[in-house]
Amino acid sequence: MEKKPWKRLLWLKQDYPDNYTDPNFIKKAETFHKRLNFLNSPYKHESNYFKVRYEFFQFYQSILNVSSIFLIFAYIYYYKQDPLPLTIVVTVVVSCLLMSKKHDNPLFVRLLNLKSVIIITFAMLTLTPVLKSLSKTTASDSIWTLSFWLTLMYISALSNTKDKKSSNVSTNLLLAVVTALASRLSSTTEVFCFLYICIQVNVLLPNLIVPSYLLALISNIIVYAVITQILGWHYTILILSTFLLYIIVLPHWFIYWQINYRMLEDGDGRDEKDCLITSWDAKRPVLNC
Amino acid sequence: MGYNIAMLSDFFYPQLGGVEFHIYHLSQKLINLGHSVVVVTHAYGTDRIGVRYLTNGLKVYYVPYFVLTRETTFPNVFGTFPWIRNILIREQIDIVHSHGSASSFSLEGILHANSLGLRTVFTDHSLYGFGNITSIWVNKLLTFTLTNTDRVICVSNTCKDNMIMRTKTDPKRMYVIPNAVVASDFTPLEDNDDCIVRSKKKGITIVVISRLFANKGSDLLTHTIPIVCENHTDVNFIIAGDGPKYVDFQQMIETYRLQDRVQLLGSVPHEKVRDVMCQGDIYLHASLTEAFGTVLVEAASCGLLIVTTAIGGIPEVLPEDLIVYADEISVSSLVEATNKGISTIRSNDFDRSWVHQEVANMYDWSNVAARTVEVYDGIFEEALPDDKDWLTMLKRFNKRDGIWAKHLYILCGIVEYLIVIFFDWWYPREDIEPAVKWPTTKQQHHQLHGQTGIHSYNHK
Repeated sequence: MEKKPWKRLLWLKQDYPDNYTDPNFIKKAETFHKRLNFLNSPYKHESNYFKVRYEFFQFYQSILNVSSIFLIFAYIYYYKQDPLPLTIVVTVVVSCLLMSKKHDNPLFVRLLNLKSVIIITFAMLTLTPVLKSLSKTTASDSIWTLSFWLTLMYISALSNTKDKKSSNVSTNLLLAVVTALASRLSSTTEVFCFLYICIQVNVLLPNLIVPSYLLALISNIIVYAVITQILGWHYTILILSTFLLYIIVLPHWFIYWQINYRMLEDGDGRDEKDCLITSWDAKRPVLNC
Repeated sequence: MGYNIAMLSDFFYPQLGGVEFHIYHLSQKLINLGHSVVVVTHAYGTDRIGVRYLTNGLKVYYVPYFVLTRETTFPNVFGTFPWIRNILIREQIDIVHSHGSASSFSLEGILHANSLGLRTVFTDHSLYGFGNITSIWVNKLLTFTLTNTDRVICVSNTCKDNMIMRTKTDPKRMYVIPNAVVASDFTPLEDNDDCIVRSKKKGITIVVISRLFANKGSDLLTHTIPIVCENHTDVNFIIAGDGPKYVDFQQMIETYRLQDRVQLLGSVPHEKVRDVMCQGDIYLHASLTEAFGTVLVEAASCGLLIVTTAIGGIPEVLPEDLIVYADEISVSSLVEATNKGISTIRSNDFDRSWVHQEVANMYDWSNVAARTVEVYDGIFEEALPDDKDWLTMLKRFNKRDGIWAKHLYILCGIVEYLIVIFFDWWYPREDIEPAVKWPTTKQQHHQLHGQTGIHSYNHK
């Protein structure tokens, strides 16, 4: 006599041993594991590696931009250079870029933009004496610590998404960093120039220029040249090798993570693999009423 | 001749819950079958510490140990070794049976037992996902532990599938043995007075007994209850249980002015659960994840119609004519299912007279114990001579998991074996005094006969 087919029921006494496994499930699990295989993984492709590396590089580039705050600060504060010529150069470059970018706009819009630029500049001029004296009485060590943590917060608030309107948290944090540092400078001109350059380099420039390897190369050369000048080539080598480690090794590690863990989570819901892996999580209740 | 079995878990009396009852009832039935059982758990509070005896000579070791969170001991792989080794040797244990994958005590116990060359069984009671840090941690720990475990028991087929995915253990070593209920503790209302009470009572009462946590679906309940109350003027609710979502239920009652319709009882002691259940006609269950759902069996045993979400192992547990399923995990389909349940009760379509006996036949601890003993027998029948050889076990670790994990596993294994060697030198096995076993009913019988035999011989 043929056995009755096995049913997935606990209350029914069935003529099968207790270690009988649902054959449908075994089949499902096999296809799932095949798909989870390293070689079949969509994350294994070279194009994915380039994409990941490019994103890592972009982040590095934004940190490089942030470091310019400190380079400019050192230029003014430590080397006691006159910031005016630098400010003029940067302003001219940024204005030219702005003009070339916006020349397809009608004249009225261009004038309106010019108006807001002038208003912001005057507002900054008015604020400069306040910024200079705001945290004058705070000890320098506290200012360095404060600016360090604020910079970390600024970096974490930076967003690479250009398509949607990002929040202005990062801009505000940048201003906070600059404000904290500005109190160490000796004259209002210096404070104004510092503020002006930092905003242009960190807020305007990244939005104006299309990122390219040539530009990246130029900014890298500038930053590393200044670092070598200030700290010596030991530090340049140290920082450069850290960067190389970051850009070559870390993407591989990230892809390893993608293959091993992210595979388990993503999926469009229609997929069998998706159902199999999420079917044991606590379900999300739909509160429709 | 029975086995000497040690049940290991962080969870045991005085704490109450699914795992705790499982260990207790299984142990009692095993003792009745002539086996010797000890339970090893961590000390509860400053008071419950040391060795205690429960009914039928069930010996419980409450080991003093650092409790981390929610009654789970601090996981550190080797820390429990001295205690567990001593207990296992003292009690001359053959089989170590651990319960609960969140319990580090039970997982470590299995590792130690394997290193000492004992047979090991593991029972899992819950489902785990893959996407959060706790699950990853528990899954890795379990993969390590189950590498050399002889048998794994899961409480439902869903639980077993989950276990296969989590630990990639050979399905042939995994058994499905469900939980059970003590049917005599969950009888429907019977005596005449009760029937009069029920006939006098107007309307329908829906009972909810659950810990009020988010994963038990309390959000679904707080949205469903007001709608059901609005649709049916003769339906009342009784909600028993406590938890972080208790406040939400209070707010729901106040917002919809349901003070007369919804009773919030707070936490109810286990022995009173039956009395609460019997006040109702329908048991409503909205859990979002469930491996087995013992409470459903208890409610069915009390003669209630069950309305539930169809998740995890629930569809396996009871025949369809005792349950109304919600199609989706949403408020609207739960309301729909509840309405269907209410109309079934109203039209007297649900015959509760036979349900209790039916459920009692389905789920019985004696049956669970007998099937567990079969698992135990299987271990010894299919055992290979080098199963518990240290080198063999290390080789098995080498075949598991990713490149980092497997080397960590091997390292842990080697350290463990060094610790075993150290303790064998520092506190030799011979110095550990074997414990006197509580005489089982069968043994008592045997001894009595033996003694009469000697007496009669002397007489001659």
